[in-house]
Parts: sequence; C-alpha cells; structure tokens
Amino acid sequence: MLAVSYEGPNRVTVTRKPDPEIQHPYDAIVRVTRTAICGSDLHLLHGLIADTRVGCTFGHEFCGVVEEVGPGVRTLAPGDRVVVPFNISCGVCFFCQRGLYANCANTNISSDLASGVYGYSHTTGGFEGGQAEYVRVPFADVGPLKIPDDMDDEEVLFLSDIFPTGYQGAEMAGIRGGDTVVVFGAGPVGLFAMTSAWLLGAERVIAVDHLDYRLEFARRYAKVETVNFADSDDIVMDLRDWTDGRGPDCVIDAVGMEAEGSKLQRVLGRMKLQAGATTALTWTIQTVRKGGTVSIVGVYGPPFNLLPIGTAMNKGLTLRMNQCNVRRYMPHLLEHIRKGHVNAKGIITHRLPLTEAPRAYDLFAKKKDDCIKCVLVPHTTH
Amino acid sequence: MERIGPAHPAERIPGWGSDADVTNRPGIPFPDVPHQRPGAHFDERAIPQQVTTVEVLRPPERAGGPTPVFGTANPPRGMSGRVKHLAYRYPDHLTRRWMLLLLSHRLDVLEARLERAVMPGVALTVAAGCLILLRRMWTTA
Ligand SMILES: NC(=O)c1ccc[n+]([C@@H]2O[C@H](COP(=O)([O-])OP(=O)(O)OC[C@H]3O[C@@H](n4cnc5c(N)ncnc54)[C@H](O)[C@@H]3O)[C@@H](O)[C@H]2O)c1
Ligand SMILES: [Zn+2]
Ligand SMILES: [Zn+2]
Repeated sequence: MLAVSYEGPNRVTVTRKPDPEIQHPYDAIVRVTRTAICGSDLHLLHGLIADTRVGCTFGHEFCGVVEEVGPGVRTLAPGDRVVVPFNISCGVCFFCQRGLYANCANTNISSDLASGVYGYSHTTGGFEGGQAEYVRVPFADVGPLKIPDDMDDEEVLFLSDIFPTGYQGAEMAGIRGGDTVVVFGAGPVGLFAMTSAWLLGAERVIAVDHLDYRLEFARRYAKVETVNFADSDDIVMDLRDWTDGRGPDCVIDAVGMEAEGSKLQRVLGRMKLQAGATTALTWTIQTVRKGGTVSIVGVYGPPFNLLPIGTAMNKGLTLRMNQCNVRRYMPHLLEHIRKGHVNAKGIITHRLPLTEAPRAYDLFAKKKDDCIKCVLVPHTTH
Repeated sequence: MERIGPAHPAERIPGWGSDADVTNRPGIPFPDVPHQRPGAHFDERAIPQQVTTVEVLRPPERAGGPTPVFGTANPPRGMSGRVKHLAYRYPDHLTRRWMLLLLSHRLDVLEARLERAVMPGVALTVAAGCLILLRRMWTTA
C-alpha cells in the first residue's frame, strides 16, 4: 500500500509499505477514505515529539471502510463505514471505565503518559497511522463509530479528533451562561473550541492569533471577536482591558508547544531547555481573571516546561487539561453536526490525493495559501 | 480588535446554549462514574495477548508485562536503536529517558541519511569498477 513516511525533521515522503495485518483478535483493518493533517502532526514533523522514528507513518484523523475484522470483533463487519477516534482504548481498564479514554492503561506499551495513538511516535505506543491506504485498528468494537448512511465522510471526519478536542477544551474551561471566553489559537482546534463555547452558552468569545487570514476565517466561521497579538504591544493588558478590566472568565490554549510571540521562549524550546515554547500558555494564565479557569488542549511534551505557576497559584486559578477522550463525545457531536449547529467540514480548505502529502504538509505547516485544514484522499468511498 | 455587533449570540449563532445545562455535556462528570464502555464485550483480565516477532522496547513502567495490544512499527535498529535500549531502561518521570530518546532520534535521522547517501554511493562504485574492468578487458584483448 501507499503510506506517508517520516524521513526526519521537516521531511515526509509517500512510500510503499506492506499492507497492515490483523495482529490481535480484536483488530480490524480499515481502508482509509479520508485522512487529515493535524497541528499535532506538525509537532511530529518538526521532530519535537520523543521517539518519532524514521520511516513511521503519521495520521490519527481518519475515516474509512472496514476491510477485515479479527475473530473477536462483534459489532463491526467488512463494508461498515467508520470514523475512528485518535485514541486507542480498551474500554474496560480503570481509566476507560471512568471515561478517560485518552489515558487507557492497555494500549501504550512505551510509556504511562497517555493511551496509544495512531501514527503518533513510539511515545504513544508505536502504532502506524492513517495517512495511508489501510490502517490497523485495535479494539475495533470500542473506538470506531459507524457513520450513518445519510452522512458523508467529510461531515464526520473531524469527530476523529479536532471537534471533540475543541469541545472538550470548552467543556474543561467550565463555561457557564454569560461567560466571556478567550481562545488562543485560531487553527482547526481553536475554531472548534470557539463554536463549542457558543454551544455551552458563552456570551462573548474572543479569538487570538497572529495570522490575519485565520482571524478573518474565525470571524466568518465561528462568529467571534478577534485580535491579532502581533498588533498589540501587550496582549495580556489589552485582553484584560476589553473584558471589564478583570480579565475573561475562561481561557483556552489551542496553540501548544510551537507558539510564536516570544523569542526567548522559541530559543529555549529549540535548544531543548524546555519541551517547546509555552508563550500561549503563559498568556492564558496571565490573562484569565482571578478564580477563572484555564483549559489546555494545545500539546506539550515531556519532560518539563517553563510556566508562571506562582501567578496561577496566587490568582486562584483552575487548570484543566488532557488529550481528548474522543469516543466520549462522538455521538453527541454527531447530533450537533446533523442539526446544523456546526458545519464541521466547512473548515476544509485543501483536498489532495495521498501522493501529494508532502505538499499538503508544506501548505499546512507554513500556513500557505490561506490554509486552515488539509484533507488527504487515499481512496474514494464508492 | 474586531468587535461583533450588539445582537445577543442567541440571535446569531445556531445551537447557542444548547449544552448550557451541564447534564447535556458528555464529558461531565470528569472522571465519569465507572462503567464498562459501549462495545467492550470482554473482561479486562480476559483480553488476549498480542504476540509478535518484532522487537518492542518496554520501559520499567511496563515491567508487569506487555500491554495486550501494541504497535510494531519501526523496530529499533543501528546505533539509534542501541541508545533507545538504554533510554527505555529509565521510567518516564526521569529526564534521562527523554534526553536519550532525543539523542537516538538525531542518530536515527543521521543513519537514515547516511544510508540514503551511501547506498547510491556503493552502487556507483560497483558500477564504475565493472566499467573499468570491462574496458581493461576490451583494450587488452
Ligand atoms: N489535546 C488534544 O487531544 C489535541 C488534539 C488535537 C490537537 N491538539 C493540539 O492543539 C494545538 C492546535 O492544533 P491545530 O491543529 O489547531 O494547529 P495549528 O498549527 O493549525 O494552529 C495553531 C494556531 O496557533 C497560532 N499561534 C501561534 N502562537 C500563538 C500564540 N502565542 N497565541 C495565539 N495563537 C498562536 C498559530 O498561528 C496557528 O494559527 C496543537 O498543539 C495540537 O497538537 C491537541
Ligand atoms: Zn489531531
Ligand atoms: Zn482502557
């Protein structure tokens, strides 16, 4: 089969690899019909996630058709259309039982930090990813969601990660009716955090980024107020001024470890004196009102980062964070899409064949051609 | 800053507030009341164990045994593989582990580049050698 292959920092190619096989009775093999590139893949691409091995295949956002199932699979059969959460979870361990699918104890052999994840380095279990023609899906009865016949692949594709992630980000922010919410990062995750903040009843939502085209997109797509931090001398003071001088009630970090905005942070991140830049995260803590909540969905790596924890402590903040427990949100968010509350596929700006993955990575990583989200097409559905 | 007009969000956002009630939020309570998740028709202790012939490194936090499923992509190899062996001797709360993995990544990239550069190099040398030999045979014959 054809699959994306990591060749070292800033370089991916498309190569031939053996087709995946059933390796466990609860496995399925899925023929991928749509797969997307995520901001998280950029951290891999830039060599920032530990134990990303040369030759591995990325891709944790995908949907497709079940091709084959292992002897222990009961609820799926060949021919079923499915969208697959990025977390690989058993559904029965201590963590899964509590809905913490992202923290499953039975799928990540290489560390105790998180569950297994498709195509996300050996730090999350060394599984091959979905930016390929076929992919192995473990615990096939637990993760995948069958796609209703009346919905097309692209309508539900983002249930695999970024819509649930944005929603969980808003949920963890503890939004109540009347709250003012600031979202750092107007990428795909940030956009879904903004739309979700409305669903939860926010009264004002403000997006912060430094790319004008993305802020413009956020105004149109998520109907939020926007501010470009590059135009501001002090983004923290400005945001506080615009929110009654107190600061917003809830702030969401949808940026992660490759944040711009501070040379010192970038340098420390590059030199590996910390696991990436914490510029956006620092701003969230400084911006939110006292007693407010900071919700972190941007990804940060181990082992440590510089953070103004004393500011958080003295302001009495609540900090919430996790990888997204995707499966928990899928049925609920599917209904929001069906009802027309959220036009999930509306964020797709680029569709390319799998063979053009290197170009898609370039577009998305360098934010070229007003790129918001790239979708790769290995196989068409029908 | 770009502000939006005076209309209340309820008037301009479809679905606004539909999950305002916390009982409508799928992630609450966090953590959830423990229960077996939909689709999971098996007992945790009865999950079959995946087996493989591929080398899969297992850190001390997995000393109790391998997880029932795991990935088998890109087994450790070369110098970078040796450093990975060392890295996975340390549990994930030690910085050492991550620093060694960082080193092994750089080695992995270097080894792959060398392979790419050397393989055509070897092929070229062999081809050139054959040519020279052939010419010799031709001219001496
Ligand atoms: N928790 C999870 O489960 C989960 C899931 C998916 C993605 N993520 C993470 O979410 C983050 C965003 O993902 P994405 O796909 O939207 O990526 P993206 O790269 O498209 O978006 C990030 C945006 O942040 C902006 N930005 C950079 N520095 C900033 C700063 N200091 N302040 C405000 N904005 C800034 C960038 O210009 C960009 O528009 C990534 O770190 C990704 O790994 C987490
Ligand atoms: Zn993702
Ligand atoms: Zn589990």
